[in-house]
Amino acid sequence: MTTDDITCREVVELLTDYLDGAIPPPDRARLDAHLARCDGCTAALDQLREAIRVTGTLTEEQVAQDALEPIRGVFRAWRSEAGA
Amino acid sequence: MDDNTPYAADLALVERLRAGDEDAFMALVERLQSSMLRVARMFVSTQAVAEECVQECWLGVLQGLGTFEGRSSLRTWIFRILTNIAKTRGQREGRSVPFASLAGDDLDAPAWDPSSFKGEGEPWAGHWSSLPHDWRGIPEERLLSAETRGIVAGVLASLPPMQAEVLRLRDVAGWTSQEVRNALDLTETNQRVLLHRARAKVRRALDAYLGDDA
Repeated sequence: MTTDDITCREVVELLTDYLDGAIPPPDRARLDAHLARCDGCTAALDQLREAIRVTGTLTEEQVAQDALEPIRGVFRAWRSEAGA
Repeated sequence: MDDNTPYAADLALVERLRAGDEDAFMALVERLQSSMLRVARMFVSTQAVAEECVQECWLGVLQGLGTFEGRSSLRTWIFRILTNIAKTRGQREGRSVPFASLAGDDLDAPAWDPSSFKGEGEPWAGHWSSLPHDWRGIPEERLLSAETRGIVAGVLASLPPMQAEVLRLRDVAGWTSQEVRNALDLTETNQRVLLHRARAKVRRALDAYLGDDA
């Protein structure tokens, strides 16, 4: 808990912008100062970072190879037309 | 070629495509096809129409290769072509999709349960009333277990389409915010709000699952 003029409730809504580096410098300094003193918001930021890390371990579903054959056909038709 | 352009690797790939390199082309198709189908499907009525849009997009990409200047990434450029085709097709089908139905109607909802904070009129209003769980004590093998990842996959499947796609492109595929904005034709604010909502739901679901261990 801190005596600065930004509340924890406001801080948690800014964390995505914060991680994207999208917060202008004066506000960012205020947020950094808050985080340095607030265990709750530090834990919240850590949770968000970990949630992003777990999401990053998922993999894109792959489209079946035979579903890509029409696209290969598009390529071959284009190539013969373009004379590449 | 100027190696200082930000997308030099993409320009090199474009050169290979223009030279008729089928393997390079099919590798690109494989990487992007599933997201392209999902994005197209947001704007048109059926999966079959979405597939036609994607096929039309690839033809447009091949025919337009000579105009790609590397000012955006190749994948962003491809998605711009795709969203234009899919939106036009959707309009022609008489299908107008309001942004809210793609984005979800909960964009203004708080990321965190309001009861976690002290109420107005209380001392320290807006500050934590109960501290968030400290996840740092959670063992790595539990955090990255198949079960935990299944929780995230479940949330992803339940999100409104645009929230899901922004989360996939940003946090699964690792695109930058600018790429996602350009690819999906979103404003800077909308991209961040969509991402913030989607991440908030993932975090909340994970906390409900892991919180007792923390």
